[in-house]
Amino acid sequence: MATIIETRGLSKTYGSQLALRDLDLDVEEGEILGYLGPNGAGKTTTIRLLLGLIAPTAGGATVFGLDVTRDAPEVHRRLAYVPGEASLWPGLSGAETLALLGRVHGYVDEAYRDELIERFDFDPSKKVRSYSKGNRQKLSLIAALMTRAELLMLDEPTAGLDPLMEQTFRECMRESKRARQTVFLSSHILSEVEALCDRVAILRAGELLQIGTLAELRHLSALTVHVTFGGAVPNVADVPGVSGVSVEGQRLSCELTGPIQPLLERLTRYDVRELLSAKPSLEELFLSHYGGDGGTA
Amino acid sequence: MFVLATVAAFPVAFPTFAERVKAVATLQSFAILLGQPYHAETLAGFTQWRVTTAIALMGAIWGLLTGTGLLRGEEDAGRWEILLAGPVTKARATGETLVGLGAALIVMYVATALGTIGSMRLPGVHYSALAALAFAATLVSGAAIFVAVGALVSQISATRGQAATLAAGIMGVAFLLRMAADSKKGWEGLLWLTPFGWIEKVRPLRDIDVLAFLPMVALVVACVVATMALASMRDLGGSVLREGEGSPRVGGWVIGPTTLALRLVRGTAIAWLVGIAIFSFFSGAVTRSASALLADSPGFAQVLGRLGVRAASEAYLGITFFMAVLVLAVLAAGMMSAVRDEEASGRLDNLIVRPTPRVVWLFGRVAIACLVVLLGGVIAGAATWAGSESQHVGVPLDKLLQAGVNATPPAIVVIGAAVFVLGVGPRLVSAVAYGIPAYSFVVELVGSLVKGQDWIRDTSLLHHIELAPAAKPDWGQDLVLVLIAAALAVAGAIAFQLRDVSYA
Ligand SMILES: Nc1ncnc2c1ncn2[C@@H]1O[C@H](COP(=O)(O)OP(=O)(O)OP(=O)(O)O)[C@@H](O)[C@H]1O
Ligand SMILES: [Mg+2]
Repeated sequence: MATIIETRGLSKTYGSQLALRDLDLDVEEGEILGYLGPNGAGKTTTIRLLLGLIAPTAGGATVFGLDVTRDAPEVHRRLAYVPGEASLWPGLSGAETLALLGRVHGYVDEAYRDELIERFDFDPSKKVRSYSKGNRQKLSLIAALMTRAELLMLDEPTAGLDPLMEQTFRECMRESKRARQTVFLSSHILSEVEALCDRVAILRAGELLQIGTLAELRHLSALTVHVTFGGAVPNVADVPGVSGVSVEGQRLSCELTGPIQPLLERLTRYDVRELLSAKPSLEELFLSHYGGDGGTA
Repeated sequence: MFVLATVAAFPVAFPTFAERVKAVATLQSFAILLGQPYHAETLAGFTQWRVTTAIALMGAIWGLLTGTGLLRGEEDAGRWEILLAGPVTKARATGETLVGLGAALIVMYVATALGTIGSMRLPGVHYSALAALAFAATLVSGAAIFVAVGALVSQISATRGQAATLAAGIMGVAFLLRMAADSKKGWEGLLWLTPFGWIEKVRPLRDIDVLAFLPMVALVVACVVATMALASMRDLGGSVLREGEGSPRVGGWVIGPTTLALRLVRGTAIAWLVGIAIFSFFSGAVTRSASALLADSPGFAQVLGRLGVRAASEAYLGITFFMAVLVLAVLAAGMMSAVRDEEASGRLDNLIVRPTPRVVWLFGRVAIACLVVLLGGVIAGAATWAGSESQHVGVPLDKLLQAGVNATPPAIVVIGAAVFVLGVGPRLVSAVAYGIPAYSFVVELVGSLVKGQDWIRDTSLLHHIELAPAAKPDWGQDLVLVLIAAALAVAGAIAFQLRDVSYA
């Protein structure tokens, strides 16, 4: 499997403002990488660096093994980009915009384009000026997808889409995956990332906190365990990997990291009535990284 | 704000020409441009003639750009939506913007008045404080009138560009009418039909005609009332005029960065080129009467001698091409601001995240700007010839075409300088691009009177252009300007390729 995106020590500062620090990232062919982080974390900065729109202050990046700055046109021939808020020419119609962007890109799957227009329920005959935000977003999604590019760089691509269109977008992503396209998906919609992405990278204040499959991330994070006993409540605080023990009557709650075996061994010696354990959702994972209060949001 | 600075600085420059008032006669040839001189042998008369129309014209341009920018541009950009979502109605937002503009005009007036009153202390000045105040009012009136006109057309236009074009068209017609009125004895009545005529008629420093203020005030009030009425009637983003529909055909002729650039500048360029054609035709058509007026003036033989000009008509036409030089430079500045706007708005991203190198995009935009300017020069020459031929003046076509082409190098320099600034300080593109012709114009007006300070005149682009057809075009000098522009553009393009994309 080939590495499509590779960054090494990729950094960007604006004056004294740090936007991205020492990013080392590998994105493999055919995978969908979810790129998460709170506002201002550096997601858009990363994408702009990878597109060669801005130059790194340190480090570098390659896409398809080509330098993103020096070989920009060659790289761009093989990728498609959807910005978070597309700024298009208000005087052109949707159809003209698609025709122009298609010609500039160099290749368009016309049948797929017409199918996308249909599926996204998009009316290309109007002027861009008159489109709603969601419709502008559809236009720039269609413009990117119709190229069938090897790599899709998507910066909050579904901002402003209604739930129906969000579904359509997910279908398109699944098709892209079947077609072995690589997708770099920055998003704030965690359910979308959870549903689509093979791996997730979490960024905070310009630094990469974690990267891995959802399962790996969950594995790294604590499992919440609730046990209700018929009789005596044991002391589990000394079991390896257990923390945050609290007891309320017959009910014990704790957090567990690492292997589950030691805790189970301790519990089987007591009268366990009910055992509940929960893997954190991506949302809880995400919130736990930003000092959120436990993940009830 | 540039106008403000100019206006404030202008009177300060007067003392240096106090003792040179006698030189007035040599400037008679500017009559068509600036209006008929009135008692120009006195300092007061000279000052008002020399300064009024030029300042009023710059004020008018500032006024229409600001008026349409604040009232239509902000709305187009969607910034009003945020405002109007609060407890603010559109009529109120419009009203507040107008009040803000009014306040800016008052500040401008006070600064100007301080300048004109200050100038009374200079040696050889004999006008009253009242006259100085009236003079300041006259200078600011162009800005005031066209802020109001800009506000009104903003209400009926569909886009900022359309509003600015419409306002500029109105201004152009007003200025042409004034030129017509001043080009022929007996046509002075026409002055009452145009704001620039009223401005000329006031003559605040010498035999003031207060009545001429009346139509100005009436026009401003009428525009403001109509603006408020329309603002409360129409939808946000709505308009009376419709903009042209986009072509529904898939795969029209807009197929790449350069054809896109053509499409984007098309509307503005056509409006300007038609304006240039009309202006030039008209200027050509009045050659006879205008040069007859020139020939009457006492100092004229002297001017002819100095310029080495054979015919009064060619001397006159030289002045009209001076106007063309300025217009082309301002047109170039407008096109280059639009280039920067393409980047700042993020629209450029759509092209350069696809396999279009930045410099290719830039080259297309610059090439089109140069072509439009060149076309403007040729049209100016051809239309002037057509106009003058309609009156059998007999200046040959090739001479006027050459004069037209000779009028383009300053605009080319504006383009080159704008590309340079785009590379090194993108936020300053507009300021520099418009600043160059404005600065050169001011220096040209003031500098001709400041003897012994030739270096000041040397900094004006207009100074490095021969006033063809009055003088022979100096192609060598023109080539130097074009080469300077090319060098600036190459340096700017390299910097642009290397720097980060910069958003608004
Ligand atoms: N042109 C710029 N000049 C100065 N600082 C900038 C610039 N662009 C981005 N930044 C800063 O860099 C940091 C990262 O911004 P970035 O746009 O990459 O965040 P993001 O993760 O995309 O956020 P969001 O979720 O809001 O889109 C922010 O602190 C931002 O203020
Ligand atoms: Mg972002």
